[in-house]
Amino acid sequence: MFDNIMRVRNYRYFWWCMGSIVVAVGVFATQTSSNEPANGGTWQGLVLGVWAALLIVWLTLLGVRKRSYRFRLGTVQDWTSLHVYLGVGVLVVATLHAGLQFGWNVHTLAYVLMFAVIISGVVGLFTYLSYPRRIADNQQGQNRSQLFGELYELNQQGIKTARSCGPEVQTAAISGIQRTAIGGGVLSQLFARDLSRFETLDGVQQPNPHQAPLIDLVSKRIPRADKHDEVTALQDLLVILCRRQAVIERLHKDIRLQGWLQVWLYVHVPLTAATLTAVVVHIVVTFIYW
Amino acid sequence: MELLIKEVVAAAKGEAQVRDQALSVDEVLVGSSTQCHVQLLGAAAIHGRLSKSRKGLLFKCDSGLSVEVDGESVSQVIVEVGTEVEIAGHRLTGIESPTGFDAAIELHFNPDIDPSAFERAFKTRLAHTWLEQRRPAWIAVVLVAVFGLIVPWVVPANYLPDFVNDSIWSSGPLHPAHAIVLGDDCGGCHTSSFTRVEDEVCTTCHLQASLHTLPELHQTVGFDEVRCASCHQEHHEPVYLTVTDSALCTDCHAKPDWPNQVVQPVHGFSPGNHPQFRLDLVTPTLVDQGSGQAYDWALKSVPLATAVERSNLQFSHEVHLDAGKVQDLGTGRPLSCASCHTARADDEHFAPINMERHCIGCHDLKFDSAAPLRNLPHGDPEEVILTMEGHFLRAYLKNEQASEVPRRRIPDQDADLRRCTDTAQACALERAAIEANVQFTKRGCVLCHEVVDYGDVDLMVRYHVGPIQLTENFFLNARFKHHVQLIQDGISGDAGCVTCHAAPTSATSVDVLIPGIDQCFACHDEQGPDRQIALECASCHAFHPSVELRSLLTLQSKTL
Repeated sequence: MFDNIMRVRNYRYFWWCMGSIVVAVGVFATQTSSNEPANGGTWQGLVLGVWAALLIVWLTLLGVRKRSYRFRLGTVQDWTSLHVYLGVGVLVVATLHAGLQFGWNVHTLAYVLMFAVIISGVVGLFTYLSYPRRIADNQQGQNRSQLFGELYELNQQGIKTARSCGPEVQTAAISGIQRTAIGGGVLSQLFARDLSRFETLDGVQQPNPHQAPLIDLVSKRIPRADKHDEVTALQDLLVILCRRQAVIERLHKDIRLQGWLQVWLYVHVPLTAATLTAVVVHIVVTFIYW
Repeated sequence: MELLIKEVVAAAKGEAQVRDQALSVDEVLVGSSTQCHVQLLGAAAIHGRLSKSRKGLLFKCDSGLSVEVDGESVSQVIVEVGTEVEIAGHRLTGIESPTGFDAAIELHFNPDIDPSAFERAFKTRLAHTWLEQRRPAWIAVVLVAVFGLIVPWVVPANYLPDFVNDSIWSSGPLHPAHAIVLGDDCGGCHTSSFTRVEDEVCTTCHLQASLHTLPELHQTVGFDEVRCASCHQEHHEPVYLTVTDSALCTDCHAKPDWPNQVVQPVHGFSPGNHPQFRLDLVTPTLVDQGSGQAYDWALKSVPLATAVERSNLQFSHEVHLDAGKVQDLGTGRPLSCASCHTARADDEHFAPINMERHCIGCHDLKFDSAAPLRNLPHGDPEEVILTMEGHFLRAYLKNEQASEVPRRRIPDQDADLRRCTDTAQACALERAAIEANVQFTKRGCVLCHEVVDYGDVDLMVRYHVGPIQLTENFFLNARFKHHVQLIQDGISGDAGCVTCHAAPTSATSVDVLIPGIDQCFACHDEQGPDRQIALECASCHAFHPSVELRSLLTLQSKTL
């Protein structure tokens, strides 16, 4: 069901895209000059160029359509499906327009930017097709706020329980709970880098990736406990820390998957703006030096 | 800085628990981030920093943030003993510092902190990081517009490095010849913005480019719409300059409906689509000149099918190529085409046929068997007469002197001389007249030339030798490569030539040995069943007629 963006209306937009490509190739193939290489200056090149430019403008308008709830022509799903197909199709049309003539100039800049936009879009499509299912599987019916709520409760219980333990465990557990790192910078979110730490009695901070060192410390303390109460508290604390660990891992994974689901847009959107500008520059420059 | 932090936690039974924490750092970070020394949920990630100052312990908020001190929002405060700083409901109070510490604070955590504040303590979305979409988008727009368009447009190229001047607008390389002259100066051709390159830019250097049509036809055939750049295009890869598609020609020539129509419709190069060949023949016209007549040689365009070459030459290719009749005197081998025809460097035309070079080896101009080394001069009939008269006068005078004293008789050699008993002068003139008649009408000039005998007594005006003008360029508006045509499967040498030129069966020089267009179609029919080697218009025709070549070739039709 997650790939229905490709299958909207029984692949209608796939066939629209294929039709567009076939027509473009047909127009291109009529460039039968014996010695003039295919280029954007022939009438076929101009037709392909205008077609590619219109496609780029329309593809950009998806950003407007998404925000326009009063717009009636086609659903957002229709638009998105056609956006995906024509987004790939414009690569063919623009390549034919260029006649495979590239160089260090603003014209090729527009092509390269467009190419980068399409690549980022394909990455985005891949994440849209596969990540929502993985996110749902990971959340197991709990959304992120609910996971944080559960973690908060476990933290409160953990701190409370830790205060019944000896100073070494108390310091380590409370600081470990307070210094649990979730998310963070771009790389930490995308690669679930865990910079959690805890403190020892002498104030030294130890790395606490995946909470394992803290859990290890508490579990090793249990056999050395002097009192029965302390053993109970340590066992309770261990259970809480392990439950925390499971919730934290799910949060890490959720943040990572959500990050990848969105990160391509931080490339796609600015590059789209750059492409649109480069296309305008390409057209204006063509007529400045006609 | 040595800082003591006392965390006060409300216990279940109402008795507060205190946990001491000693820090030894220059700067103590306070905020919700896990990297902070003092973690306060609900605050900003890094809300502020505690540090030692001259006035005491300084709490300074990060940019744009504030804390509450005595009900007022401040961005920084000196934390003295008793100063209470409130951050997101948490209270941070200055207390007396024990010995060994620079300062001490007491922390009272907000008991009402909720899970949503807890979640906000973490950066869990990319939107919480430095990543943005709008700002980079605007930056990209500005960068592309400024460096791709505005700067190259506004700032002269010589003030800019290559990667931002208007050379980045070039869609492809220039032809090397143009690149040498123009370099990166776009304005060399693009003289004004939003205007197509004008023909005057081209003709500044290409002065010799001749017009395709006559000036008087130029306007009426709509040729003004065609620019140099209609066919000559730059900035392509691979580099090429001239579009030679036949469609560019047939756009007009398929239906030549302009006034004074002198060309026939052409649709392509296949039977029915291209007119039959016409020849540009050098043709004589007799005109009155002085008391007599003279030849006026002019080029005439005539259909190949009815063309007759009136060069005044008497020549049989058939005889000369007959191995049984004619052999090279030097080698004894039969003559070949190349014995007389030498291709020029253009591979289309041939060097002029020349009496002294090509003919005299066999066709000598000896006229007196008694003087076997003596030849008549070629090309001037008066000189021929004078030569003979002088020669015989000298011979008879010498004979007269010899008769006065008995001398030994030379058998045969002077028999004719002794037969004449008149004066030496009379004998010489008589002998010259006889020999002239032989040379002009029987075995000398008449072999190759048209000779008219007017029967006049005066030898100087009696014989008229027709001047020879051979056509050297039968197609002034076409070009052709002989060498390519000679490459034929299983054929070499003269066999290649005679494939097209029917020389071995041509008995007279009025024959025009230029093959018809059907001969070309055998290989070059663009609609042929075997997809023969198609020709474009430009394969044989030049768009710019070479005026110089036309006049030059006309003049080079030489007299033998």
